[in-house]
Amino acid sequence: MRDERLRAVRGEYGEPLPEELAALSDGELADLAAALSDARRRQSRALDAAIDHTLRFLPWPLSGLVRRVLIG
Amino acid sequence: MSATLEGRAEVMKLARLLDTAPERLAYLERLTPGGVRALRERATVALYEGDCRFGRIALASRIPPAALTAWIAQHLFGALLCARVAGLLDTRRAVDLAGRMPPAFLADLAVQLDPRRARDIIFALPARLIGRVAAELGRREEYIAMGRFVGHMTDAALLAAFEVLDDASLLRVSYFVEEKDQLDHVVGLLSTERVRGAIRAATDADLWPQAIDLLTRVPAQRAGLLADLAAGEDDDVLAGMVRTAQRDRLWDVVLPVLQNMTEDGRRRFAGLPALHEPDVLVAIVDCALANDLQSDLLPLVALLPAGARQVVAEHAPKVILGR
Repeated sequence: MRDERLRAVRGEYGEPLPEELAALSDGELADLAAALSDARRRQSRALDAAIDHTLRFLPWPLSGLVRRVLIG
Repeated sequence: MSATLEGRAEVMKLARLLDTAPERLAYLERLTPGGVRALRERATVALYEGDCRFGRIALASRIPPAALTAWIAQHLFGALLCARVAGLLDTRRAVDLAGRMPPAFLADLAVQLDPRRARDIIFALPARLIGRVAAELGRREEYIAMGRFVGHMTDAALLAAFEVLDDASLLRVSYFVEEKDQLDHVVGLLSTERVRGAIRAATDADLWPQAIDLLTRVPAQRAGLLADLAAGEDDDVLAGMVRTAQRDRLWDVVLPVLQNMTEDGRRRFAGLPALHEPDVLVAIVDCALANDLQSDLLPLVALLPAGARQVVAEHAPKVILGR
């Protein structure tokens, strides 16, 4: 279980991580991993929305040009 | 900086990066400040480099006219996403865009930005604009955020920020400066009058822990100069320092500074009535003996009035005898 929790933190934060993380409980390690995972998810959703709003807001032909750079 | 306060500041910075409440991450205060900082480094990489769309947005931002891009950035992207993209923008374009944004929005952005990733842009921003943003951050009491920027600003920008921050705020920001090797240079930019103001603020706003901490983070010579300026203040100002050193057990920080003060400064310090309280003298002597600071203590003892020397002699005769 503990290795699994540490792996989850490593999966989110990457390496190197401070060795002292071993002092945290399983629940705390799970929360630490979730805190970054939540932040990434929120950031990705905010980015989706911002790109979508921008493309709808921009007048043609700017929207076409910007869409090609952003989405390909 | 005390490990507890430094650890709490690090947790606050990580919480802000992760857009969560610091209370949620309170358990991280059990780690060392360096450990939390290492976590923040990793989280910064994950959030800034984990989405390839940031690079495409930086490219796309060149297409619309600058005024339109600035409006979109402010109203559709918001401060957090702009902070993630800022470091990827062409410096001239970024400076142009920043000039079109209100200081309140730039302050929002600054709070979210990793200044190391936008160093060229911060250097290129007009000092006047940085002053306006600093004023906004000062109003919001964003001392931790400002402390992250200090090592990444030009002297002109620092001076513009000094102008809009009061003396107590300067002291509070100094506590959170991340680039510690820059602190001596930054303090050197302050006028004598501002340093004196900050020393008075230390007593008025109960900021002596921050002021004493500053002495540990600048070279010994600078610490001596600052202490000499402090010695020029009234007794009640200096009594605040004595009370803090006594309460927070900081004599091991204060004693070595005495070596770098002028003889007049040391004499003034030794003559302070607050220092002659028996429990203060005992704490100073015990601290010196415990931390091998006798060589810092002796010049002070030599300048104490007879009554205070008597207290020291009764508590630790070998100190008076110089053995």
